[in-house]
Amino acid sequence: MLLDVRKLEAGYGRSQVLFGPSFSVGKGEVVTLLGRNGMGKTTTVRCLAGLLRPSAGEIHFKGARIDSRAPHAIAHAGFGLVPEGRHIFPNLTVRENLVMAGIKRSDRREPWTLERVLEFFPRLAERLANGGNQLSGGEQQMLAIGRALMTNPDLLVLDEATEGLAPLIRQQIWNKLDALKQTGLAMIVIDKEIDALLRFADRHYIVEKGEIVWSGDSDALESDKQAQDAYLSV
Amino acid sequence: MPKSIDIIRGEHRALASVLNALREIVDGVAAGRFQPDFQLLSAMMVYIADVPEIVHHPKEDDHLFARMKQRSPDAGVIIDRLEKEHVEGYALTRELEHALVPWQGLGQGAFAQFQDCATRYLDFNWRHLNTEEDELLPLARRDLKPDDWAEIDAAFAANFDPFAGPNREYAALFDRIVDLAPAPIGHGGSPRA
Repeated sequence: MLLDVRKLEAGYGRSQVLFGPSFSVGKGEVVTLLGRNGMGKTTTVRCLAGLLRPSAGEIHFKGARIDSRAPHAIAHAGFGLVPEGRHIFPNLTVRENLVMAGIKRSDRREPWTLERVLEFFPRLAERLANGGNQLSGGEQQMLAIGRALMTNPDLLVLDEATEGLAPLIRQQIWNKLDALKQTGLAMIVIDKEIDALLRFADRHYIVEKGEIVWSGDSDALESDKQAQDAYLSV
Repeated sequence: MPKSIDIIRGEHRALASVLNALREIVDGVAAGRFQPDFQLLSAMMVYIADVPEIVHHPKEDDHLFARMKQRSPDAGVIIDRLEKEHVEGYALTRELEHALVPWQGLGQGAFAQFQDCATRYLDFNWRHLNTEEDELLPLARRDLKPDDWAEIDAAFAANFDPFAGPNREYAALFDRIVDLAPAPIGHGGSPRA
């Protein structure tokens, strides 16, 4: 098992958000966290990335417990995050945004380098000298994904990677994620495009009020209209 | 879920995103928000002509529909309709291509003809895609057996990547369309350093 999350509890101040979700991700597996806004998906991701310290529970990544580690240590362990809102550096160029994120790993047969990221996202190669604030939303999203790839992750977590993008650009992002999946990269994806996720992901977890209330594969989710209506429709 | 259904849906999604962009661009030109970009429109025409006719429909006609005719009596009427629509879609695509030429050559005076053709083409394709997704694929999942899916999946595997085409030529074309399409539809028009 690549990632094993056990009975996670976390919150902000006195406000508890997570009430013990447990889930796992295998090597090369694509898993989603689904649910309406405010249910705890991003809080879960923040705990995984070390940005929020859980009050209880355990997070095991590649066999080691990481829930008390700092964010940079978790990134070095092979955890790549594409955060909601992208969080690229607006005053740095595309090249600088990418290079500063780079983590070299000697155990990779085909490591992600600047050249490989630019080959994967040719659009970024045309924008190398542009500042982050000069990019379109879709280009910023490519940069956020490219920056996460520069850390040579074993697990890539994408929090609302297609949010706010036009359908054509969303499709381009999904195309790229499909290509990443074919390389065997494990992913956790949070997104509202259920239709795309049913096709893209292997397994799904639905988060409701800080708990996992449903889990299963795409066939099970697609046929469970009751769960979709109860937990996913707005 | 059978891999071949994944592939069909993936191709539908990719095609739908280009159709949606074409609608936005035609509406934007009509409203004066965009100038016509014939390089972009030509790239879109190649995509919406080639991907259905070369990549997508042969898989459906030769494998999925053929097997469903044997296994799913309820699907006969729907398949007959969809096969006719594949032929009709070919004609509508040619009509749209032919309407692009006078617009490009004669200017805005010939835009209305292209707009009319585009509206017919898009409405037709949305109906067609919805029929396949909402009516045909559920029957396929109900009536085809694992052996059927294994054979269909194997036939589809020759063209596994639903976005790239057999030799990845359509992946580059898709990226080119996204690059050329004006923001916020695509990346076009953003500043270069």
